[in-house]
Amino acid sequence: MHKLPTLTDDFLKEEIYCADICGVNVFFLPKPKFRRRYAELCVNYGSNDNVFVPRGRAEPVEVPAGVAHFLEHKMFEKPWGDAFSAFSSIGASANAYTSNNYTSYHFVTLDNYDKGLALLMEVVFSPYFTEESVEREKRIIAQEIGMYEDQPNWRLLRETLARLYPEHPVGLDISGTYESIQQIHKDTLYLCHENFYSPANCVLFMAGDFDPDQALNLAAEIIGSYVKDPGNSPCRIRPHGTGRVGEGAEIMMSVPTPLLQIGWKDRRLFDGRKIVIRELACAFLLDIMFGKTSEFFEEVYDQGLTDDLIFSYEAWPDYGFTIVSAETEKPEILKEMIFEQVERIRTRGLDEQDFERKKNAALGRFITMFRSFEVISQSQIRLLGLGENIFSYRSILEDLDISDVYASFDSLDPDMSVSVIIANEGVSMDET
Amino acid sequence: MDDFESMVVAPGVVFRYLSEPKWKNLSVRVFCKIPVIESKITSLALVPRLAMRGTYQLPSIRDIAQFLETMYGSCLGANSSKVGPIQVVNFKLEIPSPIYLSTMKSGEPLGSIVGKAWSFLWDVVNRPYLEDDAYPEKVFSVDKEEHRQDILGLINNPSSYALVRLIEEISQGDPRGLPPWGSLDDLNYIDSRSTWAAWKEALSMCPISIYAVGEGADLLGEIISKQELVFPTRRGDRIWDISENLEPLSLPEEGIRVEEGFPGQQTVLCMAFHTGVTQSDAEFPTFLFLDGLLGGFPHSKLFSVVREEYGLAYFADTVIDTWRGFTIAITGISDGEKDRVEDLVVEQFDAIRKGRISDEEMENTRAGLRRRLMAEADYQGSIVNRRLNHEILGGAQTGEEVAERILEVTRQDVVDLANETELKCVYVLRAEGAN
Repeated sequence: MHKLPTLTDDFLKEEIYCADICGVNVFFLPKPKFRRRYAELCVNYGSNDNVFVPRGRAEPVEVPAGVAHFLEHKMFEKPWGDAFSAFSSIGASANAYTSNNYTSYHFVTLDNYDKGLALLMEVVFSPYFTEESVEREKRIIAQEIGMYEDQPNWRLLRETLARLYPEHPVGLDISGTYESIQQIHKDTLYLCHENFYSPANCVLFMAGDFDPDQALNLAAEIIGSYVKDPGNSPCRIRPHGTGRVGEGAEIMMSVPTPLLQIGWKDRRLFDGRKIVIRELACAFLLDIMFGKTSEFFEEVYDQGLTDDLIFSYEAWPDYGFTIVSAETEKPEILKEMIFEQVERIRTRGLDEQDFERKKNAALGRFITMFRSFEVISQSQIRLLGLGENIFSYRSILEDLDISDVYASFDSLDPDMSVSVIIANEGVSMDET
Repeated sequence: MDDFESMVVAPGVVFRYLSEPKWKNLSVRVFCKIPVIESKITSLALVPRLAMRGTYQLPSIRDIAQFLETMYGSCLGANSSKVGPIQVVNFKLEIPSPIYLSTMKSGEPLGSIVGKAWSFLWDVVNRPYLEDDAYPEKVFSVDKEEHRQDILGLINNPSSYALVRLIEEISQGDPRGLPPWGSLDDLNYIDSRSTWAAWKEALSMCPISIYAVGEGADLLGEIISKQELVFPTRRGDRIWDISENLEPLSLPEEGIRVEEGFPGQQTVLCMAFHTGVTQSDAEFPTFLFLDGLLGGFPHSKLFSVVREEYGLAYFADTVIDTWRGFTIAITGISDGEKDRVEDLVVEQFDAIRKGRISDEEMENTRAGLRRRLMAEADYQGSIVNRRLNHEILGGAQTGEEVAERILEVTRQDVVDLANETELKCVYVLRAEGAN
């Protein structure tokens, strides 16, 4: 174990203890008086990683869409049985999820934390696949795909991303498709595990009411028993997601109220701290334009167009996008109003008082984040990948300037936008 | 173990607070507990939405949103829910810890910060923005329409919708079984004046619980103890007794079966098993055990058989109704497999009836239930919800109390309860658009 400097925030009176253990970045957040003990092991591998150069080979391979998610499902099956049951037997609850860029395995328990941690290492670092279990999992994942297909909000986002990113894997469904999962076999899973599930590509975050030295020593002992070699970083191949966008769409689905979503692809790419600044600045800009303190929101609510506008911006080194969405009986009208609002604020400029008030609000919400192990864990892991940490995030937020928000207007280029409407079968869009 | 301090602050109004800094915030919740009245449930369901539109002091959404930002990102929520047959119109305000806020607001006294937050929340509850002693017409008509769309939009989550429909069928028209959002038909008849009148009446006559949990809760206690709470209509001593009508709904003699279609990909199967045990009964821990064994955990019979062994579902678990005494199996499957899965669910329940429960299943369930119950103390919302449920339906006041009793449940207890349990309703939302 190689201990690293402890991260501290004197104002919040929080500390995060850090170490490098056999290549795994390890963090521990002491949380006195909480009963739960938590651990999340995150692999820097997600649905976007479908093209890579395997270790020992010269040429890249492309695997079917949905492999990262499929792998996550299968990692709980072991030669001796089901790891979920093993977690249950020690009183722990385990779960996992796959996103575009990460796969996360986590558990929470009151007792037997050492056993839980050992089990977590075995889940992640000891793959075991058979063709029979892979075939069975295809049926389960097909049901999962069907479940999401029936949820209009999920479909809306998927359709928007597919049109924003025809050239980048973020436009693919994380779970894959009914067809793509049929192409997955045990060899595919072993190949991806071998290339991405190396300790150097993983982060462990622990939290609970116990002593930091005890926590890190435990991690060192357990990781050390499973990991001998840190391994290498994978050679992933991803395009830059800055190309032209596709056409918008109107999708017929049985919904009581139509849904509208507009996506803007960010032409610019950022890295490290600049991603954090970009995300904060865009979040502020969207809130100023569409949030509850805006005249725009008051207007659309009073007109009965919608009572909830949902907006977000997300950036990674290879892509970034903004989403604004709403349920509305008049999607075409609301769409035009949203584009007009962007241009109106671009022309009018920003109110300094608005900005300062929102900054204070963001700082207040930052404080309350610390009641959630999961939120802190996921934030810290993501920020690590950007060369930052949860406390430097607060400094970045404090130092954010209105000029950063002005600079983020270029994330809303109408030529890089796509709109998707999901409407009821039988309703003509002309009627809106 | 949580140790609430309590005080009666007005007729039928109890304030309970728990001071604890670990969450770095102060959460304040107001619950108005209203026996379901069929003619008023929908009106009252609109009240939270209308309340968030503006108060006497802050007459618009923008004003409220700006105020919350000046309170460093404080968060306001409100909705209508149900605990058993009681409609609970509830409001929540969460502010970052006043200790931190005081520093960030250049030394503003803690009492001033907490006092401002409390005054604001009490205004939201009691002093909405009105015109001509009613909710503004324009606001009311927009929000009524939004409420309609929300009810219609339940189908956008088919598994939640299927559960709602199952409960509707089991309730057999008893108004106490109405959902907390009321009914679509009512929206054609209610108006802004009668809605405000219904809310004023509820505030004057229904029991109210106020909970403060977090850093500064004791300060709020001091503030409230020195105040006279003001209501739109004065509260007298005649407060509705919500314990009068708590017995669970009568059930159909024979089992009910309902199948409906929707243009989706995946069929949702719901099966309601009636145990007759509610949360105030001595057998309640056994009921939790039965539910856990059937579908409450990844090691449960439904998950291990329907999903893992046969690969027929992505989700196969149970939902528990502690007022009616149901454990409800719910699973999403291919339509072509629905009969097979229904048989599998019945088989798993029969296995429990016959005592085919391994030691491993028993102890895994015990450990899982204990963890869930003990972990409630980590969440402000869970602590308060447990107390609120106790106020209305009786039973334990804390998760720890139940966790202790879980340790005593035996296999035979579970088998005996399973043998007294009947399958009362099967609801199938059939996918008619499957590829």
